[in-house]
Amino acid sequence: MRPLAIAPLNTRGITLFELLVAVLLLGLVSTMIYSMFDVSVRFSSKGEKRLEELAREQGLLELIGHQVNDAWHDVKMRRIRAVKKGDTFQLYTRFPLLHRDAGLVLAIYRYDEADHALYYTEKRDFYNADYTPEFVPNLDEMRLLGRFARPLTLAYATGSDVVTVGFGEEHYQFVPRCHMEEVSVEGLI
Amino acid sequence: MRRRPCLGRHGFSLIELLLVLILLGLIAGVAAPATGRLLDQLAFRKETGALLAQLRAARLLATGKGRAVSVGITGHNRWQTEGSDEPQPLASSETLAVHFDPATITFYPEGFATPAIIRVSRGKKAARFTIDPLTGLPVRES
Repeated sequence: MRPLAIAPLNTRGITLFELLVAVLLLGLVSTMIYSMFDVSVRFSSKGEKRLEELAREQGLLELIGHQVNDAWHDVKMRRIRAVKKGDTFQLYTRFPLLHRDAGLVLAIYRYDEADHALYYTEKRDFYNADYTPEFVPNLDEMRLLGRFARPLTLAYATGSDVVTVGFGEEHYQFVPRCHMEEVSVEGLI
Repeated sequence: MRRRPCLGRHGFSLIELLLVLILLGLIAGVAAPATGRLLDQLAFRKETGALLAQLRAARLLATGKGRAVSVGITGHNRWQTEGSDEPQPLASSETLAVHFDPATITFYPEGFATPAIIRVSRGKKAARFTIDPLTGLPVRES
């Protein structure tokens, strides 16, 4: 009878212990790779969100800039028709957002400070006597214009006719076109 | 005289084979429905992506050409209008249910758009997007 053959050392395969160590090492390496990947994805989505927020802020500045530029200039009062009362800002403008074909509209902004949300509506019947400076539309009747990461402030100075939009500590001022023309004409004289 | 097989070279027994087959069957049973769901999800994402691409293209057209572009939906058919031109049909999906609120979204040359909510569904899958009026871009909500 032939004795049982003992396999040579290099063909014996691997023990269970060696296999477990290998699996453990693989697990450690894959966890490290995954965490690196996860961090980079998180940073990328954070950056994307910040870009979206900046685009929204820029969009609001452009919209208000256009609306102030094309604001209705009251020749008798020598100022634009705008009112800021509490959280509501009203402006008569020829640059509508919702009703482009309307021509002149009353644009009304309302800021919900708790939610950092800005709501907007437009009144085509701007001549309606109901729309006094104290008129405040309900939020559910208005359209959500956007939520902002930084606190928003809207201000209007009656004397200088300047509309100021602030995001946190940054403030942007808008002067109506009619005043810019006055300034340039005065400058020439 | 019968030869005794060497240790480690005696093949599989029937029990081992059956055990492997049962395990394979179990894995296939779990993996098949999951694969189906994954494919379904991919198809939903593809169709939703195509819709969002149409909206982004409309915004780009408005800013590029300097005229208002409207996108609307009638039943399953989507259409697009440039300025006061006749509406042109857009590629639409029969399986994807799309709802615009309001029914027409207008993109303006300055990059603004009329605020809108878009609801998309396909079977049990659903998603909600809004059109950001200040950037004119679609934003996923849920």
